[in-house]
Amino acid sequence: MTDDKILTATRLGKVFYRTRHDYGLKDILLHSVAYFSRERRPFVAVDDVSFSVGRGEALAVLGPNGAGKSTLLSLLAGILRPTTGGVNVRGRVGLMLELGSGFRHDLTGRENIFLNGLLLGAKKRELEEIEEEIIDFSGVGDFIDEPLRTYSTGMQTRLGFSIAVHAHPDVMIVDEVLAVGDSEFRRKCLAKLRDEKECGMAVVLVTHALDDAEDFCDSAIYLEHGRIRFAGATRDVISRIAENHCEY
Amino acid sequence: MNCDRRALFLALRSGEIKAKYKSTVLGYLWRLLTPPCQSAVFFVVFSRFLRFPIEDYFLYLFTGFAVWQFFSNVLTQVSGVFIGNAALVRKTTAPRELFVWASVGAEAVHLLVTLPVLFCLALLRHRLGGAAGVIHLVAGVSLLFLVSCPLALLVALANVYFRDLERILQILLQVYFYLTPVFYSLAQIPERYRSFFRFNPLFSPLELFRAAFYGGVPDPLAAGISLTEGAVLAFAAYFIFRAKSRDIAEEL
Repeated sequence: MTDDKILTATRLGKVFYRTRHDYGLKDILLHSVAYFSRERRPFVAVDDVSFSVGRGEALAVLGPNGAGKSTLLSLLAGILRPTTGGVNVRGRVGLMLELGSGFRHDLTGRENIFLNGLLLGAKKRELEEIEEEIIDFSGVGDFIDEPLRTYSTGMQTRLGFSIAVHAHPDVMIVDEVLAVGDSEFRRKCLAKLRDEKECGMAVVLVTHALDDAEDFCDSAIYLEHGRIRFAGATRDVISRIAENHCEY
Repeated sequence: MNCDRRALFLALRSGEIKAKYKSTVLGYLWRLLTPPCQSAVFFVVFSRFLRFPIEDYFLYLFTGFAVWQFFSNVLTQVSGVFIGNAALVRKTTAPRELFVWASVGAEAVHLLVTLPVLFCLALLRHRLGGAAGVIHLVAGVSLLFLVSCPLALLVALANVYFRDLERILQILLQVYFYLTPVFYSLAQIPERYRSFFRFNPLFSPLELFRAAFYGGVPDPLAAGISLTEGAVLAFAAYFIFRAKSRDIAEEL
């Protein structure tokens, strides 16, 4: 059934145009010919990627650096506009992209809970209800009323993850952030993700840790140069990665 | 949803305000200090040295700078708003215009803080207008917003594509400052140039704002022109921003 798919990507593609970005006014005036005829070299970051994730399922996105994983996540989250194809999401997307994203460093942890939560699309009322829960899970303690710039890297990640997961998204998109926390926090995060997943949340997880993927995800895709090279059950994908001596 | 947008706007705005006064001893007081300081300098130069014939010149300057600083600060602050918030913009799908509104909102708070000081000053000089004054004030501030907000959107967006704008803006604002009767009055301008001033979108808001204290009947034609310019800008800004705002994350 396609009805129970929360997240569907259809033939998704994204092309970036690489231009020299160090052009300023001076260059435009002095080298205007070069400026306006500068080549815009296309770079295909994501090419013809299709998959779908259903309620309570988890998908691992594997691949070496520069394979287009993060671009893919940005497309799924609706931050970037796809060049071709489309994304269909039913419900709310929870985002846990790289460290410190969605935070303002001059605001306190508590204020950032609201800022970040609202940015993720949670309701203000909901956030008020789960505020204590978020603080509790993040384990930042009484630092919560200190400005975020005083936080350690680990604390920022923990707070970020805590907000994202407690906002009860329908799809949770996690980009390689678990690597920052210590082993205890990792365990706690994975346990929490598993709980939520059992309650029907879909998860898209980018990771370089194959055992996490195997442990947690039902299916996987392996990206190389923006294209899907292997797709299927996580175990199969991992064994094919090993057979082909692929980087991940 | 509306309530949540408002909450997000408030959260972003308090971020803007806090960032501005982070680790300063006087904090908000700085804002109260700038218009009087600038007014004082201009007062000495133009009233004592150059002998400008304007009544209650200090109050005249103060009203001028209150309006001018709102306008110029909005444009300067907003030009860097997407670059400054890149971490938020690149990682979320939040409506992009909210970042601009947060920045404008922070300046609006600043304008609001200046008003009581202005009222005290006007009270001292017995220049508080009555009901007509209130109407003029409200009309002036509304018109000021109508002109500033669309410009803010356009500047914020344009600066993402062309970052030199931030610098060019500094120069343009300096020129514009002298073209706007902030520290001089229209009566000092030779007759044949006067009608051109009506086309300055800031002219009417400023005149209305001043009429709240000085009385008199503001030029309805100038108000009409300013209103039209504001409306045209608003339309343009709305459509351009709607078309382009989804590409901001990529351009950053």
